[in-house]
Amino acid sequence: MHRILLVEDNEMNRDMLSRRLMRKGYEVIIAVDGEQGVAMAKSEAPDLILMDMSLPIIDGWEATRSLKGAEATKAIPVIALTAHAMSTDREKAMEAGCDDYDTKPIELSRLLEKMQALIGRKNETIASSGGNA
Amino acid sequence: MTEPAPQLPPAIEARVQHMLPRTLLHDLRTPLGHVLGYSELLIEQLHEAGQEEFIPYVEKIRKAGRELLELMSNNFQSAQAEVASKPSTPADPATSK
Repeated sequence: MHRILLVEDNEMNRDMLSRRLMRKGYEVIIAVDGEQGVAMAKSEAPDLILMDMSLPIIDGWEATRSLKGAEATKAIPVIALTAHAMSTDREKAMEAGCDDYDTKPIELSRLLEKMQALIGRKNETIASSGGNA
Repeated sequence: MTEPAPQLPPAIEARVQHMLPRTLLHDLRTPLGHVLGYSELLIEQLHEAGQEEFIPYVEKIRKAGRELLELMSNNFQSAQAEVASKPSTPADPATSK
């Protein structure tokens, strides 16, 4: 079972998305702000992070830069989630180090495809490096 | 007699015009996401529970939510195009730092 870290400050978004992901067989752990998200990424070593970008304390861009700059967390794929839907928002997320980007409202089948692709790629990298990635 | 409302400097007004639809779109998409997400979740659970007779009602909620999302996105694009087509105002030296 893949473990997903959902970093989201909106209670209804957390509840709705975590329920839907658990129904698809994922284990979901939750952080409610960017600072907690970074701490949980280090302590829980999730397979993938779903990162809201408009977060309190540390926003999603800064949290992602922090994760991608740390040896222990840089290989964890991060998908940015935001209700802003302009091309510049995607560019901004990718510049911060996000591996992919999706917009809210979430289209679950599209998000699941992106998650599977990134988790698969991460596993291939680990396998090809002999488990040391 | 009431005093006229104070006017924003042109540079600030242009910025507000640019930002408002973007902020509004973000703020509307968030609760709309709840409507769509929970209606899709409910449809799945009704299927599993064998309560098929309720699904058409929830489908109508979901469909209306999708239409609203499309309307908002189209209107946002029109508003953006309108702002972009307006001649740019010179920056206010007091606020452009």
